[in-house]
Amino acid sequence: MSDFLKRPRLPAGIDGSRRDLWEEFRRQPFGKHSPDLQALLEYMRGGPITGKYFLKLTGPHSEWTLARFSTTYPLTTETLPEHVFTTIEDAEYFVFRRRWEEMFGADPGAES
Amino acid sequence: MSVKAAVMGYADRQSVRPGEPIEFKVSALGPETYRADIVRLIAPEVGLGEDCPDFCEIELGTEVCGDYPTEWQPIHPGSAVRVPMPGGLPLEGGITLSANIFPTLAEAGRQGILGTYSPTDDSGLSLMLEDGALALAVGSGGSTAIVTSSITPVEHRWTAVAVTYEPDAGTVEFHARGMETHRLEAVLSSRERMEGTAPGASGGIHFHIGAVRAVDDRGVEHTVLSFNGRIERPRVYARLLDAEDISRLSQVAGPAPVGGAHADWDLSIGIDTDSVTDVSGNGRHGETVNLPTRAVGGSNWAGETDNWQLRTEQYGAIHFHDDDVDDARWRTSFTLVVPEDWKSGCYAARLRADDAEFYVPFVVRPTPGREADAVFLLATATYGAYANLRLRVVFPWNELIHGRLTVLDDTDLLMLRFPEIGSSTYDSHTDGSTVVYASMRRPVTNFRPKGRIYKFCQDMLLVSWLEEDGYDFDVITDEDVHREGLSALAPYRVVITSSHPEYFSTQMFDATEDHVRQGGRMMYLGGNGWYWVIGYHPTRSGIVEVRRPDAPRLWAADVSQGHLSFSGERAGTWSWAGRPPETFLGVCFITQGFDECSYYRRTPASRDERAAFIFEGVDDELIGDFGLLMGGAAGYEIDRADFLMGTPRHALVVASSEEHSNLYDLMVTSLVDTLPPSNPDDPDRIRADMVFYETAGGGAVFSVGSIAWSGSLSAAGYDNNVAAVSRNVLNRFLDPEPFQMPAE
Repeated sequence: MSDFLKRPRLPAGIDGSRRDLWEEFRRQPFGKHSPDLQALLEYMRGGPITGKYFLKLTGPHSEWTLARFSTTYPLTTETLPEHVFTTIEDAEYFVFRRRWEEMFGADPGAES
Repeated sequence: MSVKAAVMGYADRQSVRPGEPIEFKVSALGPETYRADIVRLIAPEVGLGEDCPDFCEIELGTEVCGDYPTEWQPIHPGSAVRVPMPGGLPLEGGITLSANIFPTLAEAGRQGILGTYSPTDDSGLSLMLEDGALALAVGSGGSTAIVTSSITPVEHRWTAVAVTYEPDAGTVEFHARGMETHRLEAVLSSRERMEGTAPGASGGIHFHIGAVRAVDDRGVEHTVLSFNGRIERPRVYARLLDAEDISRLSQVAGPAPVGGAHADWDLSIGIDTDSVTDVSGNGRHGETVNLPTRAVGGSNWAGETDNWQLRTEQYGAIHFHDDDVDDARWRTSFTLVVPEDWKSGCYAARLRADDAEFYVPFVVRPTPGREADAVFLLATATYGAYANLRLRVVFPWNELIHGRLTVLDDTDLLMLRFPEIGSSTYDSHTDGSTVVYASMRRPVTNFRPKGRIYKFCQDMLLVSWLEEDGYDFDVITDEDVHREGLSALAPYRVVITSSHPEYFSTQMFDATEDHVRQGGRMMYLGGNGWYWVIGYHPTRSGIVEVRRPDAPRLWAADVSQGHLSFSGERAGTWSWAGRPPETFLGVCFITQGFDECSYYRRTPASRDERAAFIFEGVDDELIGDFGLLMGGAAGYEIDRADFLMGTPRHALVVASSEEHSNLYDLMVTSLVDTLPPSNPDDPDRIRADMVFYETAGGGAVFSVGSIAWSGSLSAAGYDNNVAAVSRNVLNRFLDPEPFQMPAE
């Protein structure tokens, strides 16, 4: 793949203190976003394919199971049957929170 | 350990008439038998709820339905040139093999450049790359000896290489000369001795260029140890050439630099065919296997033109890949002869093995003379270009450009489990070069009515609307129009397109435009249509070619590849070819986004009396602010009218979409630079336009310019303004009353 497809950069000022971005994502996971949320999403979603989360369609447009690509090539996949969703939105929230936690060390959706 | 069940299949064609046969080829793993049924497809499986049609297939009792013994049929990817050579190579006086090579994956183990070697029976001899070094493989009938040199041709550079072999003395000499303008080492040679091995058998049956011969356990001959890269002017001399003669062999054009060749293949001859020509006078002609890429620049490509027809002598190279596959070449599992009374429509062979399921869709055309007034044109050219879209599974940016988590299903993941089923024209080969040929003659994972909603599945939403509303319609394919031209469309008053008819050949473009010019009516109910120039293989069905010289980054062809090999036509977008889609459809693709779809707002032009029939009974200002494809009728890939680019001056833009998500902007500014430049200060630049215009011959064109239109038809039980507009247009288009051109 062409090398111009580098991972987008995370702009300065977007860090774990920006729980407002989680709140915005929770309100509207799809569609128009603020510039900061858009930048954060592009960083989160633009990572390498190795180890990347995806959804496995396990019921006819009614059930999605979290899955992950292998961390090495040749690529294989692993489903995570403990994480089954009945809406795409719930899956998006789950992955957003997990990625946030991996990046910033805390779950933005945790009760404070 | 039990094997996870799998079943895959394909057909020898995508379109068949009543009374004609269609052959299905099936491969399965797991249970002792698999089940095959033939079904008529009425509605796709797209979800639950009142806005979604219920999945509907009708099982048809035919004699081919039943249980079949499970058989695994392998696919052998990798391209080559195969030359019949009964008796093998004459070794008595020594042998010289030569070629110019351009390795692109030099260290990919053992790769065959040219010769008769076969590891199956340890016979013959071939010049090879062995972990990047020139080598000679010699089979003695019971074992193989590999003599490896110290010469390592540079990757992505042309090198003239040769080997001489003197069986009696066991002497092997390798020669190499870099062909770069500026190089450190002009000539390399390496003299080796073959120890402890009897003189090799001469090899029989076939000589291969770009791979070596093998035979699988079913007795099927195929190729292995594929070379990745370009090979130019391969030659064989049935004698030992000296270093001075060998130094002249890199010359690729003009008379033979050294006479008396046993074989001398000029690969610039027959670029638009599967044939390879021996110009030695000895008639050792060959054919390509698995479609290696032709019409690529050779060592002497000088940049004067990117048209192989103008400087054919500079296109004497063939690019081989270890993952090329043009045909799985499976034996036929069952043959259906379509009964005379079957209605034209979409059908499929449904294959099941345990919990594994696979569909092989096909179209039944009408019996000639019994056509309906409307025809649905199934976008098989586009399906071909996207067949086995590996990128959709493994591309790191999928989630980013879709603005959503990537959703995959079991059928998608067959591409990881069985990579030998190959790739699409959006993918790269193992060596990083772009795939330019794609075939339906292999299992195609994204041609199905179920699972992830995509292409054919989405097009079935249009079919299910036509079925639901009780229209009498036929179904034909892009390839039918390509092969038959206007005569395939002539019986019909109305042509209804698929949701994404992106790939069009000249023949298809001509036929659809001529049809409308002569009074026909075009309902373009999709987005990103008539966008890329496509070529079909001249003789073999289901194989398409795409090159994108005007895509400077993603999916780019190298600069020598400006023209298709199949047809010689200018490659790239139709706009690049000087025939912008706006001139016919009134609109052209501008951008895409898959996170959310939007709606259209009617324009003042929608009140023009010429457009009154479109909105009859529709009072809403917003059209399609609902739908099962991300919530709206305007989205996925969208098209815009552009009068500067050729939208007919009398065309009415009757509605335009608005309020698209950030993703649609991102695609324009950041990723796909095939899109036309737009003014970032124009807030309405991201929009789909709904366009209508009349033609002088009494015909008309109606375009919605959005893939997602198809997903809104079924909302509220087909009682909604998208279905109403579609119905209004189709009803008027079915009316034979000619359209009148508006006054100036």
